[in-house]
Amino acid sequence: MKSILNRSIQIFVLLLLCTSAAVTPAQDEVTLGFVYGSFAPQEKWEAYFEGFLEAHPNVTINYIPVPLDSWGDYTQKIVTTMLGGEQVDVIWNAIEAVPLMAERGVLRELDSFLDSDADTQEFLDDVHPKLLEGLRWKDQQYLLPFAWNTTLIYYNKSVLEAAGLPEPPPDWTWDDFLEYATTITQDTDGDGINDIWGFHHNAWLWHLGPWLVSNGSFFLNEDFSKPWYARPESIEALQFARDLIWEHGVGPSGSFNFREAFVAGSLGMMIDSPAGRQRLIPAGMSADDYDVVFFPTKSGEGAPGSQWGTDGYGITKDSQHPDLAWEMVKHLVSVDVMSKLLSGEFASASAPARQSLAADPVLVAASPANYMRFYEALENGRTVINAPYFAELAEIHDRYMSQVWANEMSVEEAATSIQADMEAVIADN
Amino acid sequence: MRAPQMQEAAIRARAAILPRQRINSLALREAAAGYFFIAPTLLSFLVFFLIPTISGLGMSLFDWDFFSDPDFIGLENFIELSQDKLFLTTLKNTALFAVLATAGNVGLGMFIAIGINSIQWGWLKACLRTAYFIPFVISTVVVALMFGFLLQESTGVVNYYLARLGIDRIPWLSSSRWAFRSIVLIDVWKHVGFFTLIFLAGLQAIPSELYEAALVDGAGRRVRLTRITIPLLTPSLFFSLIIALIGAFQVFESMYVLTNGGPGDATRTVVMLLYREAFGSFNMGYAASMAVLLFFIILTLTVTQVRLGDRWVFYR
Repeated sequence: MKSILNRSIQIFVLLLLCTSAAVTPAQDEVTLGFVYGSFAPQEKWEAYFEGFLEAHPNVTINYIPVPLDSWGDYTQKIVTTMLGGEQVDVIWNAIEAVPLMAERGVLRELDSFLDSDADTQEFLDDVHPKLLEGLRWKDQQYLLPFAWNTTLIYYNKSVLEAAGLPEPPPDWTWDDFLEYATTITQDTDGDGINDIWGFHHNAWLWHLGPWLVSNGSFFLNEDFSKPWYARPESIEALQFARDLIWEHGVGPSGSFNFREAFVAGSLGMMIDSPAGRQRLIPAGMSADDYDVVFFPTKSGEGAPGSQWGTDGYGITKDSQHPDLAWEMVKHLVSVDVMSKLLSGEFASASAPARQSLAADPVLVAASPANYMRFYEALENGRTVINAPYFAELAEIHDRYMSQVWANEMSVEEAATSIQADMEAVIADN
Repeated sequence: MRAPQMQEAAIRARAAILPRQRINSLALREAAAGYFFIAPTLLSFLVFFLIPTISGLGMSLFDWDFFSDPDFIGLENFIELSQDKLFLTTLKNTALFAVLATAGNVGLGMFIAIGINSIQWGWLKACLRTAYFIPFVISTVVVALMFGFLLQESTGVVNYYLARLGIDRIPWLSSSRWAFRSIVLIDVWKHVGFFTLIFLAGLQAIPSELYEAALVDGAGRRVRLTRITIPLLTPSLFFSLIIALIGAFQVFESMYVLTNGGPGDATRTVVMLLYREAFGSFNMGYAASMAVLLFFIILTLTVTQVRLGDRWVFYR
């Protein structure tokens, strides 16, 4: 009798479960707004969501493209989009924008999600700690790192070979570098105009930063509260960089399509990041045609460094579905999605934030032999300027350094002016 | 009898035969139709001009960073503006650009139009007119990118051919001295076709009898140009000067793409600074005060031109 009763209860419970499952309404349809940089078409970004949409069939993604001209401009456009009533839940943005978006209350802090979600431990163990740290502001995490970049010197192997030069050593000096650049620079047809240039760089922050780092300095101190332009090491590095063009004539002055020249073999060395691969692949350059080397130092001593930046995904404070948005962010930094960076064929060819992917065969096959030097440069590098007043500092740099690059102002004069102007901006903020 | 007088007579005639009530309803219907037809224009004027202008005026009185609530600060933005050296530099650059670009566009446009108009072959006239007008329909950003390639110092096509002629490379966009001139030249290249078209329309409106009479009186080419053509082109000249000056004061894209205001601040204009303040530094109120000041500068110049126009513009 007891067993019949038990069996009846079991059947009843089973029926109840089946019935409840049958009458449970489908999950509510949810649309998540995703902001991305429109430098890559939407279908390339859509590839990142394979798997997520299958796991969350009730979710529809509203792709919101935002033109990416500068990070300040991109950030402002995101804010304008949100103020215009567009529901934005997940944002792709860069380290430069974190202080501004955090200070202005656009982004939601992610520590509460990280603390309560045991699934993230695997990611935290894998991601490079410097990148994670870089996307924090005032002790709170605002973006989870996805991809990163640092700059090294790319050299065209066939150009060096034609000039009778061996591949440069990783511990080369400024003198070695100058010798390479001078040897490569040639006026092959004798018309008085150089047809092959040794090296090219602009007065841009991301071109000059590594010269400063490799000479033990940078644009500003660690917390970006004090400019370092007037330091002797800074002036020395900037002077060397400037003299390559105006004193030694190994680099072209004015605007110059350096990547095209590099591919065409009329430029021996240029500055670029891991993402540079993406621009060389369609131009027909294979990973065997070029390689990367550290910036030279004055004496050949010291750890090779550069400046680095990273991007990542964050959740807006206005998100109506923060938990689902968090699932989306977790998906975007998963191994599956980050692997799409490796081939250089998706939205970005930057280096993946997960250290486990650094030796992936796909990445190795699509990268030059010394690709791992980017990781070494990251270890010893400085972050790009990331302060809420980034745009003002960048403009001050451009204002004076563009005059140095036009040979209209001395390095010392520019450094003194930049130092004073940046100090004023920092004091105002 | 002229058209308005005929209309008036017709209304009076209708009033004489129609009862007052019907007249009122007819007038009402006509008024409603009138408002209906001007509604699209009125609406776009309100949405795209009047409301933004009033918002801009209001915003200039606030300290607003785009994210938090705006603080009312009265005229403080304008006081700060008057002491801002960078703003004064950009104002000087903008004014110089406006003078040079207006002179180039209008002067050259008139010269080209007179030249084209004197051509006897219709097909050549049409070809030249089209050729000069084509740059005007190309996006300014595309034009800027194109000239960016052409004017590269080391590998640009222009310097390549100059070198062939034995002329040293010119730092077209990378020196303070040349960058400003280059951008004025590019602006003239892009816009001169538009002004040529305006002058061509003005030239075609001049009655040929005037030239025939002048020829009979023995007037030479120079006299015909200075006594007939130029005086009768003054309405076109007046219109072109106003349009060119307003456009030149708002210059932005070509400088933004080609030099980003540099080297130094050599090619930075008020609109560029305004854009940086608004969308780089998020000083919306300060940027709005620049826009307001620029608006009043353009308004003053336009009103002055209109007032002075009465003295030199000749309407037939």
